[in-house]
Amino acid sequence: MTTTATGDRDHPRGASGATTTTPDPSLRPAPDPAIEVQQLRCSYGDFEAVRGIELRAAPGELLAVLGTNGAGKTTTLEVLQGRRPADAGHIRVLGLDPARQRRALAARAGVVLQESALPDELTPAEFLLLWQQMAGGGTLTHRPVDEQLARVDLTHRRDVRIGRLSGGERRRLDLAIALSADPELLFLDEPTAGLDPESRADTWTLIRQLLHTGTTVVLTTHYLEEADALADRLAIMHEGQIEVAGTLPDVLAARDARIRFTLDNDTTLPNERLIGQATVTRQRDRQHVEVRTPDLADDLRSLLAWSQAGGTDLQRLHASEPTLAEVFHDVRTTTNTPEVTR
Amino acid sequence: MTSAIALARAELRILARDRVAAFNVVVVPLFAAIYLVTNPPPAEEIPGPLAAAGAAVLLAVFTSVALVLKSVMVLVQRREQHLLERWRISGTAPAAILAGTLLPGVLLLAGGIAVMFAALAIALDQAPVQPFWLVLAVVLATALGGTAATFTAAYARTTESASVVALPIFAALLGGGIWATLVPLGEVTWRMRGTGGGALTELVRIGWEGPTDATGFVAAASAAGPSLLVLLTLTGALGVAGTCTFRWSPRAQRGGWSRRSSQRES
Repeated sequence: MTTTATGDRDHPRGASGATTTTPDPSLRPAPDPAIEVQQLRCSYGDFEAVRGIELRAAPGELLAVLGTNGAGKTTTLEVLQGRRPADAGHIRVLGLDPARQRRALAARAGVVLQESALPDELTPAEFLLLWQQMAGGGTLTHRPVDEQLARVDLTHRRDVRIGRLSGGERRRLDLAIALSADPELLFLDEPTAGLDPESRADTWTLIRQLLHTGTTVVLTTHYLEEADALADRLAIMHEGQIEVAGTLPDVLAARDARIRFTLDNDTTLPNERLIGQATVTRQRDRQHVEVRTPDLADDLRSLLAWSQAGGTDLQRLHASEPTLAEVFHDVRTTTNTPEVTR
Repeated sequence: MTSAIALARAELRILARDRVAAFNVVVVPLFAAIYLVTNPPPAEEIPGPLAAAGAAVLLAVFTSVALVLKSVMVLVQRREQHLLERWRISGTAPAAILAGTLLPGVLLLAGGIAVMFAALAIALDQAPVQPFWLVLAVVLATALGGTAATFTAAYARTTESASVVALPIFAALLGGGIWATLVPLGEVTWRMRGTGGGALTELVRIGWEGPTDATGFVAAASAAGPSLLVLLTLTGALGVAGTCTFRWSPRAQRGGWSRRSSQRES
């Protein structure tokens, strides 16, 4: 199954509750998609890690690529960054072919690797200076080192050997390196792994600021709340394929809400429509009922009316909209999930 | 070029801050040289050809240990640290990354061997008759050692396994180098030269004990021809093989940076 993750970003953000505004179109570098992937395939020997996926992200969007371990996320990112050739597929990143125009892409894209690739013996200031001399053959315009360090709150660790930095500080230094030349596109491979909650919140704020200036971000993460809070678009990968893709509201709208309650064993279940979607687990003198419904408000209203009319006691009543965690769980447990293409 | 030099300076700084490594590559050769100069063996016990053989063995040891083994370990360590991936992301050309990473080792080899050659000449009071061939031998040793290390690094998954994986190259350079000292200069065979170490030894011996008459240089060039051919061929072959097999990240397969020859970077 292949799906497409694309669209605008004018929708409320998820768990954070924050609302984004559309960046000034004049700030956007190009009208073309920042990322366009069609039928991407990539193998390690006989093992096909990525199996014909399609992705698309507009400039200024944050595309979150989620997935189980070994789903193919990092391989996909490596292909997009030009670090690995694709076996097949059409790939354009900022209008460039990453495999053939790697250096041109490197000048316009920043990368936070999954692993913190830093030498223990150098200091943050020394490494940032070295990066400035290396990136784009030393031809790019970079922010001053002290400004880069201040941006990620590492000024006080400027001249400390990297080997003595904490995991969170190393991660923040990774981010400073990626942002060094104010890239149009930012690849973040699990950027907040190992960060404490405060540092994670600071990183989210920084990412939001980047999005407001029109930077396109591709994020992979295992923290669903991170995708929930930041992503304009989601793509959930499993076993080399994209199983779910779309905006967060689109993805959630394709899932049923849940109503859970407990009844006495001698109670007959409510109307046929609800019963038809219900899963009942009997336990001694009780029956636990879980109902999946596409129309939570309507069915909950019906259920409450039935309960009130018959004087039935709905014990432990719990109603919930679908969550990203449930969608992710569904993808893990079954590949037969609904497709969302908008 | 700027990137390679910047990277080489950083690698040198990293080396300088690793006290054990710095001691091994700087202090040990200096102590060895000082010891040789201050405790020269009796001249009558060291005939000229044997002094040349000693110089050849020194070059073989430095090339195999100080350059190949050390370079393989550095490349594997940088790959394990994901630094090679980092440099690839920077858009720096693969050759510049490798040159910058290996340059400190090459310079230290050149510096160390120069010190040892000088110490040997002072201690034995026997200056090489044609230093040009010595310099050429050192230059070709660094090129051969660098490409051999790049090729070998693809097969070492960890720094711990680097020394084992580098063993065949190590044996060829050191064993071949010693092997070629066991015969008179004119009797070095193609098989000996084929080890790489034997060819280097022949060049060193030509530089140290080569012809001294008016036609000396031409005669030396003629004698050095086969070894030059072998060294250039081996360096080229290992360079091509290294290009095809090098791995930039721990999880990458051996595919080099030209896995698809049609994909030319711009």
